[in-house]
Amino acid sequence: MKEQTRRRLRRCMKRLPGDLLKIAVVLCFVFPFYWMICTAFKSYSEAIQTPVTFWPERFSMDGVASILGARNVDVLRYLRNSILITAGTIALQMLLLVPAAYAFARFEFFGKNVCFALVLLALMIPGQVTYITVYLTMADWNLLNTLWPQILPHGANAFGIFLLRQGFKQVPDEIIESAQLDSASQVQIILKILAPMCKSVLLTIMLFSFVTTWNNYFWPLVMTNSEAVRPLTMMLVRVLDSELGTRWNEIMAANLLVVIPVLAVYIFTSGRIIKAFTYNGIK
Amino acid sequence: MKQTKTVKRLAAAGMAAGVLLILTGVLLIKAAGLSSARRIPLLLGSRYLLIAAGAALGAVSTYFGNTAVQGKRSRKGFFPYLLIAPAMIFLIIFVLYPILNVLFLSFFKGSVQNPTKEFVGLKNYAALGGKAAFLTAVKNTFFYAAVFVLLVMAGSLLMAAWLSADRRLNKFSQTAIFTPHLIATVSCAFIWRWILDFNDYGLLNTLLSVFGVAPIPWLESSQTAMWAIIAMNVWKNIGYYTLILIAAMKNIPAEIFEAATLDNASKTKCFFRITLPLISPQLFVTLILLTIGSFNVFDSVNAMTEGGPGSSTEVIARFIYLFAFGNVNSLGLGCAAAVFLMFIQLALTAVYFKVLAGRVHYS
Amino acid sequence: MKKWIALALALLLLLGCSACKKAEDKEVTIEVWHPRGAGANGEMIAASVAEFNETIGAEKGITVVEVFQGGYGEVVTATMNAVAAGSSPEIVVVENSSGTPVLSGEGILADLTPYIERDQWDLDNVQSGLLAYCYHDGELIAMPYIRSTPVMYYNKTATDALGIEIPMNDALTIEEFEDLCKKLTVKNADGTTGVYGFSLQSNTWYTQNFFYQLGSNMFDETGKSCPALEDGAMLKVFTAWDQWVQDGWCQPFVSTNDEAYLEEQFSLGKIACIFDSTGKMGNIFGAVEELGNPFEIGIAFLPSFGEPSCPTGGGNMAIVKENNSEAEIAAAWEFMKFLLTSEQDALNHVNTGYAPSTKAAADAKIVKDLWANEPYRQVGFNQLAYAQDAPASDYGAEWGVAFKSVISSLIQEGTVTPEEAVERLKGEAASIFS
Repeated sequence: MKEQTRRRLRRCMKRLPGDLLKIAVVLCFVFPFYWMICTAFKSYSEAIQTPVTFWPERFSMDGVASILGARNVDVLRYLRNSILITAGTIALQMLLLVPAAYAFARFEFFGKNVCFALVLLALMIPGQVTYITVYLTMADWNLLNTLWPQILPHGANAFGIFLLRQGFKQVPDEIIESAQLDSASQVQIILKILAPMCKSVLLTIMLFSFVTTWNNYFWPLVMTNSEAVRPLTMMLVRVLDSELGTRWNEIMAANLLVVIPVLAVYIFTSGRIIKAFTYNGIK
Repeated sequence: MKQTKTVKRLAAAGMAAGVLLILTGVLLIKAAGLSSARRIPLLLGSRYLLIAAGAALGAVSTYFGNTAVQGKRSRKGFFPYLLIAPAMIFLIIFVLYPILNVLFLSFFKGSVQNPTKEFVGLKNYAALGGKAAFLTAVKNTFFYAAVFVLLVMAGSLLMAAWLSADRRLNKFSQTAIFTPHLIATVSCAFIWRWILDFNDYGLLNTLLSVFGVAPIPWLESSQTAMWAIIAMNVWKNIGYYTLILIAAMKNIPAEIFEAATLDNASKTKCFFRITLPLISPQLFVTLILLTIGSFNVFDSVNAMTEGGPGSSTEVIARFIYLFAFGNVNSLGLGCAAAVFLMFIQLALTAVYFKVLAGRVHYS
Repeated sequence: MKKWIALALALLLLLGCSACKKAEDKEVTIEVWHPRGAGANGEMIAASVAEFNETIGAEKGITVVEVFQGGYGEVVTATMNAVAAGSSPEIVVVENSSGTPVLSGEGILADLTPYIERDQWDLDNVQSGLLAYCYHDGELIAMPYIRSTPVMYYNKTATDALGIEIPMNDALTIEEFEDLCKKLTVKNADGTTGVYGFSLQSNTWYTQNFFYQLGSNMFDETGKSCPALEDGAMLKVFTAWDQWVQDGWCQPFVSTNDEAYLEEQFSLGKIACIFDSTGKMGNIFGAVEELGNPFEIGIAFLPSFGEPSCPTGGGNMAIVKENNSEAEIAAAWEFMKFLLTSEQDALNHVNTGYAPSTKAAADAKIVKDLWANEPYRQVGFNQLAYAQDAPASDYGAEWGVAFKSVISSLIQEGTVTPEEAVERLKGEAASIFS
């Protein structure tokens, strides 16, 4: 017994410096968030006072109140828009990506490489290049004051096509062939075999889309001209332009409000998310 | 066999011709200045004919080409096209068309209100070469991309190796370093700006002063501003790529490592001779994604330094936005810069494929 | 799986419904796009809109909707995009020298002269010093709305303690100004600066004002060159500014949002003297109160290299004629007239500190009371008599980018000498003004 404990202790000791370093690194990564939360709940004067306090001396809701109460900042509507946009984008992507990835993974057809090159191209182009053309297109279709300009352009998610194609490729041929022998229709093959087998990849793509769409800043900024369709990240524009100057406690409060939903989903599904992201879909 | 090849070549040519016809039709419509017109005068009929002809030619070519590729006439012949059609339509409307539009507009001098005011050919590209603002932006973007990609690749490899063992501490660390990735870039930029503030209440300088270091004007000095932006982006992205690499590492069958230890291989040797080659596919994909993404940097620069100090952090995406759509109002110039950006990304991807694809080891 | 598809389709339908447009009614609805965000500014425009909708709007069947678009730059971008897309706002509030010419140059703004003649509206009522950029090609295409001039804010408690008197309605000479700032600077025991005497923003309207005082200007009449480059005015201003920073009493500006930073430092008492817009008066006074170390604030004219002068800035309001019907333009004119009544103009001035656009507002009771109680509020208005604007230039925006970059190297970094800075700008001018 004693020998075992001594061995365990020795192992602990050997690992200690490494572990301490790990914890230090982790703290460095996480600290900015703590600082954001801390500042969000300070009053403006405390936020910019020196020496710096690491915990609000006086817990203050000034920052949060000013954002929530600011004129024309309808947080609930922003939240609703964000949810709708994100859900709509994910739904649309699922409808578009699954068939496309299936085709790329399991079929040979003329022009396959050209189409795939187009997918690759989509990965490269930043919003700054495409947005004005898309804006004018949306105007032509009379969709400007709706949520569609924030959903449709992101329908074909190039990254998702990549991942899903890999996933579908890894489904063993035998399973599909036996399904075909059972005269299953193509649709059934997709829905009943491929999709369930690649649940992890699908989940990865959905989560990735969720994070990207929720955090989108530039695209809503240039695509929306009215408050009715703006998502949560637009609250940050409001704060950036505050005539009251750079009130850091308000800025941090606004950021906190934007960050909380994502973090909530993350904590709630933490295990699954890590598992999904570490899925070896990229092979 | 030869017949199939000829058919394929003919089909490809037909396809190309069809696409050209469609493009010409579209361009002629735009040149008539009616790009945002609601009504469609009959005059345009001829141009639409061109488009229709192009589409027909394309369809016929596809039919024959596809038959050639798939060998025999199978019932599934056109099914794949049905499958990819929705995604392709979206990509064409929202990616290909904007790219071609930008390319088209880069040959004009105009504004958003009047994009085709004056045809100037390649003058915009020539002008770019003479603009210090553009050249600085290109230089800065390349610098950012090089350092960022290097740091993230090396950093995530190190982290992956360090945190890959199955321990609770490691799992927790993985979760922690992944968290910044979930936060909007703008939010991250704000938080870092707040911490890097060079006032007394800037946290980083306060902490450094404890060690006797004089306050460093992180975002106010051209020496450090770009590094600060790089650091913020590395912090945000490293967790995600670390996780990808850890997953890849976990995929390596344990037997290989067991065999290596039997041969008395050192840990470093294991890493370089076994781990690296076996995760090279993921490394390759990571490298491409990182490089492409890094050239598009915009949000963080806008929120942290607005291109300053002294244009040391001006980047191409900002140049495009300011010149094409901001007060400068030179749409053609901005589009030319955009074309240049796309060209760089394409060129780099091609280089990666040429140089590194051979080295990637597929098991 | 079928369930998921159904759910997806339901979601898409839901989105489609949320995109339903409201039914068109006989009333005219006009949109005002503006940069008046949070705080007193935002509340002011909201109040104006509400009052109009309840009174004149209700009578004439006009509904006004105001939409915040971001900063002045964002309003221009959004407007240009919308016009190109075929659906424009009716009224836009854009920056005087950088925004108005961009829109008027595109020919999308409505000429107000016919409406003025139709209604026999008194154009002389408008402050002439504010109309420079409101004309384009002989047409009157904009009206002043939230215009401002910068004034000098200083720590009056500190100057009183030092026994220095600063005249309220006259400009200090540059020598007197430098002297004042040096006296107001406080150095700590360890050599760091506790209180800076002064700090100058990167905003070009200050440097342009200095050029004007030296008899030069940022652009010539045609807007195709920069006279200050050649005639030594720029060199003089750069040398002076550089010297102020070298002498340690002028803090260099910061990279982002330097105006907000200056206001914050001033309110904390860390900078004794700043130049800032009169429109910020309400905010600055409020911030000083809030930060718990209140001092008396003094206001004065901007100091001058010669005769007093001040640049003007802030926002004009203009009616977009492109894509809008006659009825909409006429309705927009009604709202514009409303905003230019002496009550509204006076309220705007009193609540936010922007300059009154009309002469009648100066006679309004609330304004007279305000000026009687707080004489420093009148300083900006008095300074308007010396207002000047640089000539318009198509290359203005691009020149501004290059200019800011160079002064950043000069002032923030100290990596170039004033002579080198001017040389660099000469090089840039060659490629920009072509």
